[in-house]
Amino acid sequence: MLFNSLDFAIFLPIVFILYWFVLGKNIKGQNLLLALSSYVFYAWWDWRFLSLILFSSLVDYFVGLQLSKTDDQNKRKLLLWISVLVNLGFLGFFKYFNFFIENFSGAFSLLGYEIPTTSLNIILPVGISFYTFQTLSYTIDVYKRILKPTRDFIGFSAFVSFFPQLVAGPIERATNLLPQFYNKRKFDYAYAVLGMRQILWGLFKKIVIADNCARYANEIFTNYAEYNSSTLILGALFFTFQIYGDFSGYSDIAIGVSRLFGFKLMKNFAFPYFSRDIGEFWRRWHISLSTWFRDYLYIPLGGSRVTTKLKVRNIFIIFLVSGFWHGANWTFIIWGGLNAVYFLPLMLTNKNRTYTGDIAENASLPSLKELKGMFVTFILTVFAWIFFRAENLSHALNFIGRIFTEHTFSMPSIRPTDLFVLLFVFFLVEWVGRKNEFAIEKLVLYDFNYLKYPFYIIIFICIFVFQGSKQEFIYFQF
Amino acid sequence: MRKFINKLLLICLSSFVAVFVLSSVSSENVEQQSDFTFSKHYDYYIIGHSHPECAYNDKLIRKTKNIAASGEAYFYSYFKLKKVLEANHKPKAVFIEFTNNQLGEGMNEWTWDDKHISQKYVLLSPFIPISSTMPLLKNNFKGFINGYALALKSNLYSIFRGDYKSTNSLGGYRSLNNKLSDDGLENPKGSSQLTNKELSKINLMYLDKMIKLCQNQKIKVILIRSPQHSQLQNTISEEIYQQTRNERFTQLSYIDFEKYSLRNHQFADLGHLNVNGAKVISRVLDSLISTGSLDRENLSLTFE
Repeated sequence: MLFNSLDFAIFLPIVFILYWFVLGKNIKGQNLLLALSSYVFYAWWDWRFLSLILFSSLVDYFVGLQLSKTDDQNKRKLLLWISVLVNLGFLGFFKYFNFFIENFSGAFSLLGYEIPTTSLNIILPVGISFYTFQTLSYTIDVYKRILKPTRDFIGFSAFVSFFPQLVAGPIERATNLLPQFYNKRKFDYAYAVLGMRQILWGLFKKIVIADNCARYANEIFTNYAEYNSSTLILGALFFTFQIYGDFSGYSDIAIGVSRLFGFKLMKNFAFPYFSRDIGEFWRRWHISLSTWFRDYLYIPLGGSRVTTKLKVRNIFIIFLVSGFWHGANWTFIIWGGLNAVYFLPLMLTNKNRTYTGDIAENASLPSLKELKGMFVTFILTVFAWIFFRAENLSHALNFIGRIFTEHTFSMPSIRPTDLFVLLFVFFLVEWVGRKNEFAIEKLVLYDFNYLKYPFYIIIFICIFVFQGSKQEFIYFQF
Repeated sequence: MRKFINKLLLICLSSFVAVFVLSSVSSENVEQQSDFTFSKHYDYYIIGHSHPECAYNDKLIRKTKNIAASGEAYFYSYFKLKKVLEANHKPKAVFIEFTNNQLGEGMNEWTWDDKHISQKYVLLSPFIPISSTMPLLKNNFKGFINGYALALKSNLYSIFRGDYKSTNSLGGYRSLNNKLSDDGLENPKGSSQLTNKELSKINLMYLDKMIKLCQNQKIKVILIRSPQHSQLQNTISEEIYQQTRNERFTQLSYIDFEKYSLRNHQFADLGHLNVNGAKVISRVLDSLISTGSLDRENLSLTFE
């Protein structure tokens, strides 16, 4: 079920009413409702893969229970490995099987050995990378004794399958989300209003910004050979805004919907395109994944408290794995590698945490230095997105090659004025609201009822009028 | 909780009302400002889907305007024709394409599937009363809502640009340059084959409406069947086609070019003429006009 669908517009109020009006005082009933409605939400795509979520939930639930019963370190390690192997096994099979088979065969054929291989027609279950990481975080935290294992399977199932963030995150930590399923939830008017506001802004980002950019980005990336250099640059820019609108829009809707049910999910985006260096970009982009890798991969590898050689290794590992997490394609690995190359100089010169505060903190406009940093970071990011968007490596290289071989200063052959205006307005609103959780969280106009409600209505009208052709959320494929 | 729900409902309701008002106002504005006037006076109009669109080069046919458009069901043709007749001098006759595939149930899809709503409805929405959109709403609610949004956007853009010239998007002769290949004969693609044998009630209803619209203004209606390749397999059989014509339209003038002797190289595909074929058929139609053959009552011409 897509957030921007009529199905969801019917599904959400039904679950909301049952949750608060019928089961308002029964926390177990609420959890059961959330688990069941999450399964319905997921089954809307493909009910067959529900068994995967259920199996993962069962394995991690029982591993958690067994971990609490033993102090034997070997046994504990074995239990942890069972969970890791089951979860990553599913992920590996559904997501990476064909990739490894094809590359294995390709590597041997380069050496002159032809190995007969069969690639399988495997459908990737929606959201598998997200819920796998979420449920893994539970087992690892229980193993590390950071978290006490739950004895309530229904609450645990609701945690693993919680529908707002099931298929595209934010990837929640068990330490943050799981306890919320065991605390009594009380409806909070202000919190719910904030949730609705965030949903509205998320829908705007997805339907207006991302879907409209997608139309041109798809056209330009698909038929890149027919376009001149400036149009290709524009195509990369459109994709840059598409992926931001799409993914951060999804996260906003997910967080907003969770608020309606009394849950607080972690922030996933913090205006990443205003970042002043790549280090800051990665603290602002897909925060739930970056911090997941930081906590469960980078720090166990030694993080930055190791020799320079190991630091470099760790940086490359984390970025390459992050790239590979996105998909079984060399383009994602190159994208990860490129970001590692961007990040490394900052890391080695201890400048990766130069910018940790707000952008233009006490001013309405950035300083020249900040502006320069923002511009350079943005350009580097746009360049990396070309690999992310391309179908394969040769597509990416040809696309980039054509940018530099054709006349750069020619006029783009695609110039959607209406989209430029929308992007400009969007950019302005995001800039004005950059110190908030999301752009329209707190605006001066909310102090005046006669401005507040028309503002909501105008956004609604914009969503209705300027909706682009409906596209699936990009991150569903991951 | 009650306060939240009440406010939410109020905002949702206000938003829907605002969209509806904006849509109505913009639609009304475009409807009033729109200009369907042709620069010349025409005695004949040709309307229908892609078969006539590609078959009649109106530059070769005297005092004739081809306003056929591919993928157009009679539902949309009716509202288009209505506006054209209102805005221009009364023509002598209207040729309405009447061929096998226009009878089939597949025309329902041409009326209300996502693709056709987003193209045809969006183009003609200011001229289609809300009451007439019920079949679209009933049969494809999501598609219609999407089309409604697109139509609103299109109307706002027209107002913003001050572009009300509707004649540019009515349709017209389309020249096809490709030739029917051997592959096209073996694997027919692009021909308007339907996969069912049921009749489309809505298409026939709007054909009736078009006929009545013309007859009320004392404009002659001539049903016309454009040439089709002999290998085109119509799932609405000739028997059903003739039966429908005899039962419902026998009193109308009729010209049948279906079996007009044309070569493969005069077809673009099994259902459409290319530029060469169109040249031949357009000249035949022109000669029918010039000789006054079309003035006869209950004209029935079948070319073999």
